[in-house]
Amino acid sequence: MNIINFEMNLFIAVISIYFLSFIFYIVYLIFPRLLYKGKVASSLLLIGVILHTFLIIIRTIETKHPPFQTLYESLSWFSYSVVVAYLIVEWRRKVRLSGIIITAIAIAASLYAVIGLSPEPKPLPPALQSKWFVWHVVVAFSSYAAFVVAFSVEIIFLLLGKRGERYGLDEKMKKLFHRMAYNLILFGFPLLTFGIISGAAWAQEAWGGYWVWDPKETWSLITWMVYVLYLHAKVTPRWVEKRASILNILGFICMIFTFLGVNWLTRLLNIPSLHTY
Amino acid sequence: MKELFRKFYKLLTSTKLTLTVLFILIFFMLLGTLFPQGGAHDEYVKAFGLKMYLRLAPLGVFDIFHSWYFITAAIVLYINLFLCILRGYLIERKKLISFKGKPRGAREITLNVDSSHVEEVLKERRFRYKKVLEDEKGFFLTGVRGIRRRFLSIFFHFFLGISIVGFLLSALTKFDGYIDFEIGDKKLIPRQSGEMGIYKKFRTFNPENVDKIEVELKDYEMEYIWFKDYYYPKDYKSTLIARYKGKEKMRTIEVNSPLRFKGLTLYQSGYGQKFDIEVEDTVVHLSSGSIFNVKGIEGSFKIRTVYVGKLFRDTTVSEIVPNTKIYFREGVDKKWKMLEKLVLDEPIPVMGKNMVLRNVKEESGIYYKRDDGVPLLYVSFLFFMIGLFMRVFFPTYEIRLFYDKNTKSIYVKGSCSGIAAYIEKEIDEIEKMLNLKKNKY
Repeated sequence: MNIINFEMNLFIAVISIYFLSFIFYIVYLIFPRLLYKGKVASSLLLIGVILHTFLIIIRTIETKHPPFQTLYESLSWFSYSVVVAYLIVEWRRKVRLSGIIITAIAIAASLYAVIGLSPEPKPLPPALQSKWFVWHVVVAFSSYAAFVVAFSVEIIFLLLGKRGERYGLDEKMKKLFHRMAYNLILFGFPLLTFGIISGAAWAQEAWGGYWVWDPKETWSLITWMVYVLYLHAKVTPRWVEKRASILNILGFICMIFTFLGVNWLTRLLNIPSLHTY
Repeated sequence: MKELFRKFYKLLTSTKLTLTVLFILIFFMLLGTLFPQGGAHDEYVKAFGLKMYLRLAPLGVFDIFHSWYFITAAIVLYINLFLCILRGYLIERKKLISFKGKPRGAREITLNVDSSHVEEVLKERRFRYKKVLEDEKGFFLTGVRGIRRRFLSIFFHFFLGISIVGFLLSALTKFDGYIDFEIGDKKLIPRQSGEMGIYKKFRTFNPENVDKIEVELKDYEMEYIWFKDYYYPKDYKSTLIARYKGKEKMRTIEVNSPLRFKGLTLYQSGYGQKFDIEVEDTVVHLSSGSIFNVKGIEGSFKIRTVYVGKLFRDTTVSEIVPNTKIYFREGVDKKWKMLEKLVLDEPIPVMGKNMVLRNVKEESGIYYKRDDGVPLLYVSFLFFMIGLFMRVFFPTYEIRLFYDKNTKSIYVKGSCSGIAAYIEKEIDEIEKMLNLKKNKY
């Protein structure tokens, strides 16, 4: 069995564990008191993350560089960062309601990588051989992870509405939910800013142009601006609650579009882009 | 008039205006990704049809980021940002001198504690506090732990504003160009150009006053990796010597590692080759990517890249014997078909004629650019990031406290910033410590 096959099998095992965890999160939502109040789902997710870490290490050794080059590798890294960020938040806040959304997103990203894309590693082209390669990607994906968790918290809060008491959520906890979403975006925002600035500095070093209004660049700025709107909405009366929640969801949509949608858009409209992969 | 001015100022300093302009900018940017930007007229006519193109072009949708409406929106946002910074500073100053009485909505702590205990507790909680008002009824104080939130906010917004000056400087000073070098070539690169925004704006460019630096390509090296039966570019580097008025700088540049000299930056941008193809008695002088015809054959030939340089295969490194692939198509509407592999100085029969690849010379493509706004951008973004990180990751607490001497009660109100800061918890802690003090004495 060659290394690619081994990797694929391991990745499928990771997805299966994420899927099991997803099922247990559903069970937790329906019967909050069963199965140690969702602890089984969290434990499964932790096992999935450990295996995913192993997968990423193998890939790094195999390609001799951090696995962020192809879309296949980026999707794997994306789902990994999202799950890790969620587990940290769950461990800190002891709230596991948004686990169902997180696992669903991680499964969707991983399945797209496994089914839709080639796992074949490629040599690193000269433009990617830069000190910025790791920093830019790791920081940008950390911000993505924070935004995904913020989105899941917001969605769960909106969906649960008054039914929160079933899960031990009193009025104080509901406030905490809002605060959690806000804090996660507050955490992700400087990271996204650094991601964009480091990307511009990298482009300046590699191509001599820090900003060329490439669709990827423009969409990253759109995402950044939506989160700027969100953070400013949080200090504007009448915007604090519902409108801010909408902006959080809009920010998530823009972020996903920056990550994946721009690739489709440039191919669909035949727009030249330096960032299509 | 004064009222009108006040309303206008209020509008320009409002967060609502920020939100609205941001929405507008987002909308324009979105359009900018739906329509290809800065393309040639023919391409647009081909893509949209002449009628639609003539309707859309006057709206500026094909160059949105330089359109008057995009620039106007950006300027409004800049004015808003600048005035908000100013307003923030003025409010901050005003706040420090105008506190009176109990803070509205403050938490009441009735513990019957001595006023000295209050100050002790604030000191222990590492608050820097200041008595703003004291009379026979009581005293009012403000305390801060960490860096004042508004100060940080002003700080990073200020540097965001400075970065926009950097963009402006970029627009006024930048120009660029591209030159191909063969090893040993010496070429002159201008330090000023009529393309610079500042000359365009003020029409003061004089080509006779242009300073030039001399650049020599001393060495050039191309490296490939053997990947799936294909030469995959690994790296390409040029050793350049730049000279200006007796000063000299030598450096090997590659992608991601340019040479900076006298305000110009030289980038390793491309690579190419010049070579000859001998077809029986005829010699064709070509460069990579050229299309050529051969007498007696209907259709065109093309040679993309001639592979020269070092080849990394598994653990070995070897010199590549220059070689390339020759492509052919019968007509303009037909697809290119790969015919044969040509190797240096080896006659290869191609469509009944002997072809030989000869005299391969490598070329290094150097992109040069001047952009005086970049240093300012780097500095402003550095400080912007420092301010933003401090605002987000460093907890800051600001409290307002009123001590009532008659009832010996305390009224505390506060705010906090930073992801790890919780003002309610902080006030709980203050209350707890006051309790301890009270029990102790």
